[in-house]
Amino acid sequence: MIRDTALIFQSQFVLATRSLPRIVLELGQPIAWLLLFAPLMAGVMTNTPGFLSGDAWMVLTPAITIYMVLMSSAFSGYALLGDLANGVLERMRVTPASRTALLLGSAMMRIVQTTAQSLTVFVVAWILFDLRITLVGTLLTLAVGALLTLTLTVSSVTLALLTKSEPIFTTVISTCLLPLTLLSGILMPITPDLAPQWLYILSRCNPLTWAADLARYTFIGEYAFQPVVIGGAVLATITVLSLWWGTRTFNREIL
Amino acid sequence: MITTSGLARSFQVEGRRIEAVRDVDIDVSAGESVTLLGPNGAGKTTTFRMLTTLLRPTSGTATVAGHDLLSDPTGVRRRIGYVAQGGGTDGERRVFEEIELQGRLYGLSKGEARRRTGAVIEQLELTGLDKRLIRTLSGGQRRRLDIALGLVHAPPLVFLDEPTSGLDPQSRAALWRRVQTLRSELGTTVFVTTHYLEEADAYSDRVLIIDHGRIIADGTPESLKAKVAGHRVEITVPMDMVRAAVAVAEGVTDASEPVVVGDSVRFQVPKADVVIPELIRALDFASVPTKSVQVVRPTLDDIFLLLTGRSIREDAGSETPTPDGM
Repeated sequence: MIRDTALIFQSQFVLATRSLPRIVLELGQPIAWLLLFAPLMAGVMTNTPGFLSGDAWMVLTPAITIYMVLMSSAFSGYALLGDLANGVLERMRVTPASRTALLLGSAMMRIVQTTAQSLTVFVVAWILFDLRITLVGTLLTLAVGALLTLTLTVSSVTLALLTKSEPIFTTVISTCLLPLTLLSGILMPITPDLAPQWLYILSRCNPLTWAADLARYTFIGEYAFQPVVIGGAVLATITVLSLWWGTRTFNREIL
Repeated sequence: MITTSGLARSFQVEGRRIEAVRDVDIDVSAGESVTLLGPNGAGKTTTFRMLTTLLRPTSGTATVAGHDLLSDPTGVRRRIGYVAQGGGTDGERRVFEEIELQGRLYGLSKGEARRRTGAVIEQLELTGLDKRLIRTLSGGQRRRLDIALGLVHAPPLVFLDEPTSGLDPQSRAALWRRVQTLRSELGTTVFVTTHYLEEADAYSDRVLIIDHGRIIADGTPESLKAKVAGHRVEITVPMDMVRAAVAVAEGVTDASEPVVVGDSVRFQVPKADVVIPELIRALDFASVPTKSVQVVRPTLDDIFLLLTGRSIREDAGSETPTPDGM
């Protein structure tokens, strides 16, 4: 299975590196967020009491990476729909290759992509805004991003396999994505002081909120129990659940 | 090489149950070249998808390349090659990359995959195209690439689903020559579907005729054609005169029940040469303005006509999409 995963990953990686414009666009996206959105939020944050403590940039930078993860992973099922339409998936399914590898290979590719994007954000933020970045904090935040990418990509690809239809897939993903993003407080932290109580409670039920908080706290190097231990447990749980769902669907759907 | 017993598959479409393949028993020996012939929507692709582990049968059992289809699908996959009707390539990849990846997914080592890629590129006359992006290939080249992908691991058994559909006659003939060479050189068992009668007739040891999901005839092209005794006579008349022509045909000595296909009326007679003068006179007498009278040696279509009362050709284009998806 590991061998087959590596093969699928390798072939997708070769394909991805071939298109220079795509790489530039993908890396340009986080920079746009950082330059065009973050300064505004930084202003709002410094002027709003009861917000997360600390340097605004230290709070915003990891949040942007998590947002990038969310956006690029959620629609990764599209690639599977393409492979389904042109027969590539079927061609791979008649080989003895591991069914799970067909799922994981593309997830690995997506992890490389989001990690590269996150690194770009960190480097640019570090150069422009003089962040007090720690190596451990950065690595941990990247790990959180990678796990979240794995979870979301596996779920998205599995959903694509189950719907087998681009319109249905797009509708389901965009319908889920908007409330999940808004309720996660990724871009605008949802705190008890700012939000009505029901909204705050709702946001706490969203696993993405925990993942976003986890990323923020690991990035500044504060390892408090609630965001880090519970957040870590929530992230681990959704990762395991998505892998279970994905491998089960792939192995069943594919005999 | 292939043994199936009572293989069946049904689909649920908008609340309706469609029996795509019913109770199919197939036996294919090693080294044989067998064609599954039938009109579009007869169940050819569904049968193939079941035999290649892509689709779970609703009922029945099968042993393919020495392994049980249901209990050991991976064992089957290792020993077969499958070329789908629509192919299965990514236009943005290069020819050799796609073939090498396929070989490696079949478990070949890097060196072995590279060596085999070179071999199939040569066998299928793709030499010089190996670094091209797949989307820049012509239809015939792409189809040869599809077949190369199915052969990269040198399987003892290969399934080709409509290998020549969409190709011009010249490419079709060339492709068949390639397949024939493979058989004679490697002893590969070849199982093909087609709706081209001439191809089934010319290139297979044995033909299975399938209609409405059932195998309705099984034998060598010669033995099948021999079942249709004598000759086929085809009278073409203006559309509004078809009924009158049928009436005339019914009166011909020793003729079979006439069948109408479009504007032509067809029937079988033991010896056409003695019937024609009588037929012409009768048509003239009945004032049927005849466009043409043809005598045809029996083809596989006549077998189909004899067994089903329909022509394989008249169904062309009325494919029922089977929602088997994955």
